[in-house]
Amino acid sequence: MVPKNLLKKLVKICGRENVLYSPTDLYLYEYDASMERGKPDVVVFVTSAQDIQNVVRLAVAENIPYTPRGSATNLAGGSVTPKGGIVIETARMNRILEIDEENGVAVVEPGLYNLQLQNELASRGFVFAPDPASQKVSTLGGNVGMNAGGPHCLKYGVTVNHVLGLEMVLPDGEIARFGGYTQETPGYDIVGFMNGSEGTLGIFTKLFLKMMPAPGGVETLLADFDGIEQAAGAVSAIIAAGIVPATLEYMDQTCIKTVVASLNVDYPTSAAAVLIIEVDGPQWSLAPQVTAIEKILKKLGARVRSARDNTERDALWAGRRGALGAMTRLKPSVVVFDGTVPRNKLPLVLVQIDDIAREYGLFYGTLLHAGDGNIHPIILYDERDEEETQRVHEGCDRIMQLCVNEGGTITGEHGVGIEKIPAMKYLFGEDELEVMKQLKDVFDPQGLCNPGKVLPA
Amino acid sequence: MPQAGLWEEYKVLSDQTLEAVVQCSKCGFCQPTCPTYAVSGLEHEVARGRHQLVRGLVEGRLELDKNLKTALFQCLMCNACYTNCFPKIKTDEIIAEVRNLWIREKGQPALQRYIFHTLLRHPELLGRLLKMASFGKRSGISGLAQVLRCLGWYGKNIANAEGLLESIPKSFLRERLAAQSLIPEKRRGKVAYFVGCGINYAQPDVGYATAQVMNKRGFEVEVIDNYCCGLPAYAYGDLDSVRWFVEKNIRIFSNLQADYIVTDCASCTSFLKEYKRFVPEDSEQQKIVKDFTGRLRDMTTWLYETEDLAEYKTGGNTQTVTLHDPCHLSHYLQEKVAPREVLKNIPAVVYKELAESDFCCGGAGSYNIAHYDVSMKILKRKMAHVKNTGAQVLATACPACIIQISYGVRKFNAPVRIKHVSELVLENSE
Amino acid sequence: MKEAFKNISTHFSLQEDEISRYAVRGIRPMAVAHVENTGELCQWLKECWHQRAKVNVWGAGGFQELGGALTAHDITVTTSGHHKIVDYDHDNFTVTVKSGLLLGELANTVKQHNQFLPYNPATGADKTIGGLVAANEYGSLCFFFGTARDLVLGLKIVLADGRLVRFGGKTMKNVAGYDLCKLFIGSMGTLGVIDEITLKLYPLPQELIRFEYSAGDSDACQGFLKKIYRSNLPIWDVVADSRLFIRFTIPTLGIAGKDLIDKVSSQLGETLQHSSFSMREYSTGCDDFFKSNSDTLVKWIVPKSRVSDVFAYLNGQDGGMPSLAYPGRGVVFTRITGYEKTEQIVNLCKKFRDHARKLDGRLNVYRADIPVVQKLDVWDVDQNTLYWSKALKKEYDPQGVFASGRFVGGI
Repeated sequence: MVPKNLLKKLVKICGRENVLYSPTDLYLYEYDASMERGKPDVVVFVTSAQDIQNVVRLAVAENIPYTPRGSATNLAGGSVTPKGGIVIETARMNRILEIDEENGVAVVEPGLYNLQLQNELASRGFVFAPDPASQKVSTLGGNVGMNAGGPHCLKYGVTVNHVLGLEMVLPDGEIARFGGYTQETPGYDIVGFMNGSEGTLGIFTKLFLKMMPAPGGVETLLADFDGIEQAAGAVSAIIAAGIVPATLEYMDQTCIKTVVASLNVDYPTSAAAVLIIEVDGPQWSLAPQVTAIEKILKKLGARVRSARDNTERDALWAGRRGALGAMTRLKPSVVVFDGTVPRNKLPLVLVQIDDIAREYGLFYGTLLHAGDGNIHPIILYDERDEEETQRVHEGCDRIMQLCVNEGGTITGEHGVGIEKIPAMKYLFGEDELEVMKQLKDVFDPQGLCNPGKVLPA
Repeated sequence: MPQAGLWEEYKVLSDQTLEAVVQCSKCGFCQPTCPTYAVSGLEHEVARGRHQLVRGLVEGRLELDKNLKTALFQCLMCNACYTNCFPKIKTDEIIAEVRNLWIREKGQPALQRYIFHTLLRHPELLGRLLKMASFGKRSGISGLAQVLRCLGWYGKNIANAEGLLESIPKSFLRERLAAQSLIPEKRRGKVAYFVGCGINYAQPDVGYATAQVMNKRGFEVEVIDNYCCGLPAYAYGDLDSVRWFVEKNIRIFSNLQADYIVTDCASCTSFLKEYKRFVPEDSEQQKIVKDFTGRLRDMTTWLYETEDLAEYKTGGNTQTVTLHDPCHLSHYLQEKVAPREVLKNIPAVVYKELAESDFCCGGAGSYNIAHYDVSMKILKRKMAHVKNTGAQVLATACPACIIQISYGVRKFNAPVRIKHVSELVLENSE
Repeated sequence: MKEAFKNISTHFSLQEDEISRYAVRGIRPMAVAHVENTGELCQWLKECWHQRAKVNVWGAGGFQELGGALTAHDITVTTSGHHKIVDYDHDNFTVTVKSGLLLGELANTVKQHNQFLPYNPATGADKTIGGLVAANEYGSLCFFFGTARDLVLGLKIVLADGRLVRFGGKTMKNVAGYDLCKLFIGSMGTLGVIDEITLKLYPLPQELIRFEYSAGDSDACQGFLKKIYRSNLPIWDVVADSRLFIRFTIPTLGIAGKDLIDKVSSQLGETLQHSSFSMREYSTGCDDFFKSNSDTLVKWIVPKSRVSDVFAYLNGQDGGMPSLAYPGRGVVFTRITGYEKTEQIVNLCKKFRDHARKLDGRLNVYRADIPVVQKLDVWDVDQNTLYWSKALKKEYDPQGVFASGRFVGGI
C-alpha cells in the first residue's frame, strides 16, 4: 500500500484521473504477456517527460521502486512489478513529433505503436526496419528497451542498429538526451547499451529513429521439405550463396497442420517443414535473387511456389502470420521460447529440441526466424495443471542450456525480464554478471528503476 | 499461479466462459483496435483486462463489486478484439454472461426490466409510448424526457437520449409497409423481411428503401411479424429475456416460406445467427434455426449476391461516398467485402475508404445513452476520420450507427449526410 | 615491480631503445610487455592493478596519437603478437579473432572462403582489429553495413583488474543481459582491453560497379546525395569530397553489369561515369587522404543533409581545405593545410567548431600535433554524454589503470 501523502503528490503531478490505486485496478497491472505476475502499489499515466521526471524524483525521494510500462506485451515479465512500487504508464505519450526526411530521422514519443510509425512512414516512402511480430500493439519505447527483432532483421539488423538517439529520464531525476540527428556522438555509446536495457536504466521520453527508403519490390516464395534437416540446411545454403533475403521464416509440421486445420491456407500437410522466403529491393534486383534461391531449394529437394501478386503473397504469409494464434487455440497456456543458435546449428538443435520435448512430454510446434537462428518453439500446456507446468519449465530450461552449449543464447529478441534470470548463469559467469551490475549501479545506485529484472539479485 | 481447484469448483459461470477466460494468453493484441481502450488507455477497458477481471473473480481475488461492474459494463461489445485475437476468444459472450451474473446477484434496474420484460415483449405498448414522446418532441415539450422520467430514468442521460434522437417518425415502418403492395411486377422470388426495432421505430425511411429495392430486384417482400431479435437484452445480460425473444421468433420463423430472410440491421443479422446458442442441441428448434440461418442474409450481403439484378441510373452527378462498417457486420459476421462492392458498383458513387472504418462509432445500441461521455470520445475520433475523407455521404448498414453518426454530424459539424446502403442503392436505381 | 612483471612473461623489456619505440608524443613507458595470449594479457593487467601501474595498450601503433594527449604511463602492453584466428565458422558467417590480428590479414583469410568483412577503415589494413574497434574507426562501407557496433557480435574483454569477461556471442540476435559490447566498442581502451572479437561476415560479391558524379555546386551535390538517400538501390559505399565529386559502389547482385548501369542511371536521373571490378580489387581510394601525418585533421559530425553545407563553407575558406566525406554518415574529414602556427590552427578549429554547431553538428579534432591538442579540447562532446562517460570510467576503472588523456573529458 502506498501512503496517502504519496498518492496526493502523485495526483498533483499527474492529475486525479491519471492515478490508479483501487485493488481492482492494481490487480490489472500485475501482469504482461508472460506468465509472470507482481502487483504494483500504484499506477500513474504520464503525458510528458516532465511528468515522468516528477514521478521519478518523488519515487527516489521516497525510496519507492518504479517501472515503465507501454503496452505490456512483454513475453518475459519486463513490465511486471515483482517489487511493487509505481507503474509509470507511457501509452499516452504516443505522438510522432517530427519526421525529418532530409536526415532520415523520425522523432517519436515512446508510447507510439511501431505499426503507427510504419504507416506514417509508408505514406512517405520510408520504413523503420525493426518489425517485431507484435508491431501492431507493441510500443516503440518497448521495442528500444528490449532491442526488438522481427522477421526483417535478418537483412536490416535489430532495433539498436536503427536508433540514433534517446531522450530519457534517468534514475537521478534528470532529463538527458544522448545522440539525435547525427549518426554518431563522441563519448561512450550510451545509446547503444540503453537499447535492450529493459527499462532498468531509465525511462525513454523521446526516440530518434533511423528511417530507410522503402524497398521498391518484394518477392515471396514458399518452399516445403520432406525433412527438417533439409529445410534447416537450406537456410544456410541460401545465405552461403551470397543472397541475404529480407526474411527467412520456418514452420514445422505441427504448426503447418494446425494452421491448415484452422485457417484457410494451402500448405502441404505432408511436409516436414516449410520456409517462407522473401527478397526485397528495387524491382530489377528481385528476379535474379529468386532464380538463385529456387535453384538452391530445388537441389535440396524442396517444392517451391512463388507469389505472383499481393493476394498470393498474403496467402503464402497467412499461415505464418496465423500460426501462433492457431497454436494457442489448442491449449490454454503458451510459452514462446526464444533461444538463438548459430544458424548452421539449426538442423542439429531442432532434432535435439524434439528429443527434449519427448522426454518432458511437451506439446509444441516450432516457428523460426531461421535466417538468424532465432528459435521459437511454441509450447502449449494448461497452467492450471501444476505437474504439466513444472515439466514445461524444466523442458524450457533444458532447451536454453542446449542453445548455450551450441554457441547460442537464451534469448534472441524477447529479453530476460524476470522469466530468464535463472538462465543467465548458463551464459554468464559471476564476473560478467558483476560487470553488468556495475552498469546498473552507475545509472541507478538505489536500484529503484524497474527492479528485479535482467540480473540475478 | 492459478489454482486448479478453484476453477473446477467455480460453478457460477459456465464452463465455456471459464475456458475462454483461461485461453487468454494476455498477449495484448486487443489493445489497438479496442475503442474504449483507445480513448482511455486503461487496462480494464480492453478485452485482456476484462478477461483477467473474470479470472480474478473465479480465483477469489476480486469481488463482484462496483469496480468490476464499471469495468464490465463499459464494454461496447463491438467485438473488434475478436478480429485480432489469436485464440479467437469471444469476449462478448464472456461479458454477456458476467452481466447476467450481476443481474442474478445484484438485481436488474427497474427501467431495464421494464424495457426487456414489458415494452419489447409488447410492441404495441412501445409504439404507443414512442408516439406520445414524438408528439411531445414535435410540439416543443420534452416528450421523450417525460416518458423516460415516467419510467424512472433520471439524470443527465435523459437530455443526452433526447439529443441523440433527432426526431421520432410520425408513422412506423410496419404501418407504412402494411399500406401498400409489396409484390413486384416481374416476380423472381420472395424475401421475408425481418424488421428490426431501430428501423421500425426510428428509421422507417431506411426500411422503406430496403423493401423498394427488393421489389425493384424482382422480389416479393413479406414483412415478418417478428419480435425484437433479443440483442439489447443480451447486451445487458438479461439472458432470460433473450431466451424469450428467441423462442417467440423461432416459432414465427418455422412457418416462413421465402427464398431469403433479410434484415437491414446488421446487429439483428448477427444476433439471429447466434440463436443456435440459445436452444438445446438436437432439438426441433435447432433444426428451424439451422434452416432460417441458412437463408438469412444481411441486406448488404443480399444486395451483393443479387448485384446482377441491379439497374442503376447512369450519367448525372456523382457523389463521394465513404463507408462505416457496423461492428456487427465487420467484427461479428466478418463481412467487409459486400457493402464496399455494392457501393463501388453504383455508377454515380465515387468510393473513398474511411480510416479505421471498422472502429466502433460508440453507438452500440443504447451504449451512447448509458455511457455518454465515453461514447462521445469514441464518436469524436470517428468524426475526425469522416471529415478527413471529404465524402458527401457516409453509408452504413445499422440503425444504431446511423443514429450515433448523425448525432456526430450535428455535434461536430461534419458536412456529410448519413445513409443506409439500401437508401443509396434505391436513390441510384432506375 | 619489475620482478613481478618478469614472472609473467619473457616478452618483457626495459631496454631504452625498445621503450622509446613505444613513446607517444614524447611520453615513454617504463617498460614494454609483448603479449601473445589471453593468459598473459590477464596477468599483466592483474599485476598492474596490484602494483597500481598505469597501462597503455598498443596494437599496431596506428592510433596512439588519436584524440587528446596521452598522460604518463608505466607499462605499454602490445597486442600485435596476440593475433590468433580462434574460430572461423564459415557456415555461420562469423569469425572470432584475437585483437592483435591485422585487419588486412583477416580480410585476406576470409576472402579465400569467398566471404568478406564489410569493414574498411582508411589505412586500416595494417592496423589491428582490436585497435580499430576500440577507436571506432570505420570506412566508406558504413553506408550499407554500419560501423563496428553493427558488425561486432561478441567481445572478450580484460577488465582493469585483469578479469576476463565475455559479452555477446556469435548469433545475429542476442538480448541476454546488457549489451556491454556497445560500451567497449569505441571506448579507446579506457575501460578494458579487447582480447577477442567475433565479427559478422558476408558473402563476397562477384562484381561491383563504381559510379561517379561530379556536382557543379553544393546544391547540386546535396541534390544528388538526397537522391541516393531516397533511392532503394543497394548502394554499399558513398564517398564525397570537397571538389563535390561523389562516388558510390553497387554490387551487381546477379544481373548483367550493363543492365545495372542502365537501372541506376534511370533511377537517379543522371548518366554517370562508371567502372566495374571484382571484390578482390575493391578499394575506396580513401587511404591517401589519411596517410599524410603532417596536417591537422578535423572530423565534422553533422546531420547528413548538411554535408554539402560543410563543403560550401570549406570551399569559401582561404586556399580551400581538402576534405573527404562519408556523406551518409554525415561525417566530413578536413585537412587543415597551409597553416603552421599553433595559434592559427587552434583558432581555425574553434571557428570550424562554431560553424559545425550552426549546422546542428559537432567537430572533433581527429589528429593534431601536441601543441594544438594541449590548447583545445579535441572532443566536441555534449554535457550529458560527458557526465555519464566520466561516471562509467570511474566505475569500470576506479584505479585509473588505463592511461588517460586521449578520450572525452581527458578520460
